[in-house]
Amino acid sequence: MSDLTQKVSLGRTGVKVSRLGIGSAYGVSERACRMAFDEGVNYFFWGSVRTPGMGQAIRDIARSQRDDLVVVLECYVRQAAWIPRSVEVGLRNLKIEQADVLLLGWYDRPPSPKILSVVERLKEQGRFRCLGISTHQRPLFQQYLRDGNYDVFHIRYNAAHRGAEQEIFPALPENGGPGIVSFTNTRWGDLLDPKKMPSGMSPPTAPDCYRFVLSHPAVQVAICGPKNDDEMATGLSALKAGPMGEEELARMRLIGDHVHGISSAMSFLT
Amino acid sequence: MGFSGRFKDLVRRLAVNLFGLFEILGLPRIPEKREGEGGEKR
Repeated sequence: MSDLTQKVSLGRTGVKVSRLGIGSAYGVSERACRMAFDEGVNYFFWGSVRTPGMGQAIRDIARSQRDDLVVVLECYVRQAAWIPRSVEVGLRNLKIEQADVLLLGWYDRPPSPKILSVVERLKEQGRFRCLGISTHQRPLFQQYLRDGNYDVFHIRYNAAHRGAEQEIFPALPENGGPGIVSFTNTRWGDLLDPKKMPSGMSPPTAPDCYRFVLSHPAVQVAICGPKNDDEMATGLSALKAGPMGEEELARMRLIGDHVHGISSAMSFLT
Repeated sequence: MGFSGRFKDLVRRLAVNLFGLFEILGLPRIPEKREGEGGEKR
């Protein structure tokens, strides 16, 4: 994993993914998505907050290069009967037949057997290839791992929130485990905020945050959430810079420990 | 679970349900491109 520009296998799925993924939540433009795709980024996370720029980009790219794109469709619907509609609407909006990953989003309690049964039927119908799940309750991943239902985990992992290093990563099998995708890599921007740094230290950049996450061998993809073309271009520079050395990692941990002690609006919720 | 825990849980559930509703309604709508339209201005 020393070269972040190379695609890797997303855990046991065998799907080849770029090390950087793009999230739709912050308003990334179609042009920025296209620029990233041209640079080899193929993990497009159509998540909780969906903005039209990424939708347009997925439609456009999928028209001629569907096989080169990995589309993650997140589903928040908790009523089993409505899940098929949510998935159908999502696919129709993106003008694709199948999602590569259907992500059951923010499951701080395990999905009910009814939900799992509906999801299984959707898979049989070819509406998605791999099933993923996300939660902010890290201990639950151990249960999700034992259940064996999930091909992909979306986890919160960053320099400030490193609990996954103890609670998730050691439990992963060496081979045949789920793909690991990290979100909130900048801790909602806190790790970039000069006002939240330890005295005398300058803040990391967003690419530093992605490189920190991707330096852990358990993580295959770091999701970035660019607001504009410049942020996308900056984020892409993480791939060329490669993983961090020990000195850089130590600096990130030091800053992360400091930031961890500072609460933010989002950390209240999660 | 204390008051703060229950309040957090309530806010989370509201957020999840709101996102779920947006999914079912297909929001936001992605504008259709017209024939020959390249999309965003470069």
